[in-house]
Amino acid sequence: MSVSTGTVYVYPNENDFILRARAMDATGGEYDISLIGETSGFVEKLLNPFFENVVLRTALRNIWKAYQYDQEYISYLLNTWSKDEFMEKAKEFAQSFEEIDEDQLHYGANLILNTLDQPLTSAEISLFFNVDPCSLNQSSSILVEYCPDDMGPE
Amino acid sequence: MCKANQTPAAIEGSELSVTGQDIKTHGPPKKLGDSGEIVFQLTVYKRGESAILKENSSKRSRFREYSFLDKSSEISAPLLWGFSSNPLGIDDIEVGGRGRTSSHPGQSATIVGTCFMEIIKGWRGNSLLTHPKETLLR
Repeated sequence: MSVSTGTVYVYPNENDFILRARAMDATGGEYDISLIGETSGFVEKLLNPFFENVVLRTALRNIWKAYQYDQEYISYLLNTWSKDEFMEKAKEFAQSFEEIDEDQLHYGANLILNTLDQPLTSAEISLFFNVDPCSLNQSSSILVEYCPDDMGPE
Repeated sequence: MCKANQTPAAIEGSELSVTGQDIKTHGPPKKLGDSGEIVFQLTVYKRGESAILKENSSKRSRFREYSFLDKSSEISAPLLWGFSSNPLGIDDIEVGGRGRTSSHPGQSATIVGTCFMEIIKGWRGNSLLTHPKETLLR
């Protein structure tokens, strides 16, 4: 039996399992070993709140930025800002799309859908992560597109 | 002249017509990676159509390799997304003009500058008729 003592973390694969060792008596001479489950599932459950936190903080930052921009846009539409003034404001909010790993994007999109509990198109979901809507569509085959009745042909 | 109603399809030009039944601006502007130019996003929900009114002076695909570039080329789909370098103003979306149907007045706009529109959801292909959350892990 080999024992790994290295500090490099190896992501669990399908051959990793978590075992429970229980001393059978006070001397600790005999142990009962039982299988808890696959390591990957256990680790995912353990880290899920952390991942959710990261996704929701990202989404909150992006939506807050969108809200602030919308305030400026409304001011422009109400003629409070001239077009030149608005363009200067808009430049402050402009940023490039993020490139997010496909799995992370899929996880984040699912989390947003479940949190809001309402249909969203991929174009709308893209706002939460500042990504190109097209990339979201390509990465999320099982998300596909919510298609309410009123979006179809008449 | 090309036409498409299914992904992947997009058009690029210096002036595009956009029609549909629900045209909305879409989040903060984006900074284009290659030039730093800023563009203003929009989405078209329901019966979206967009066509090239004026071609770009340089006829090369800038945003998608599959973009149509010729005048009068058009895309149509239930959900379009795109952008232009000029923001939509208060009177830029016309109601009751192009895009009207027997049951809806329709909305239309002309976007100018650096313009791009793409099909996000086409008329054909798979789509979920129920909320996707029902298929997802909680």
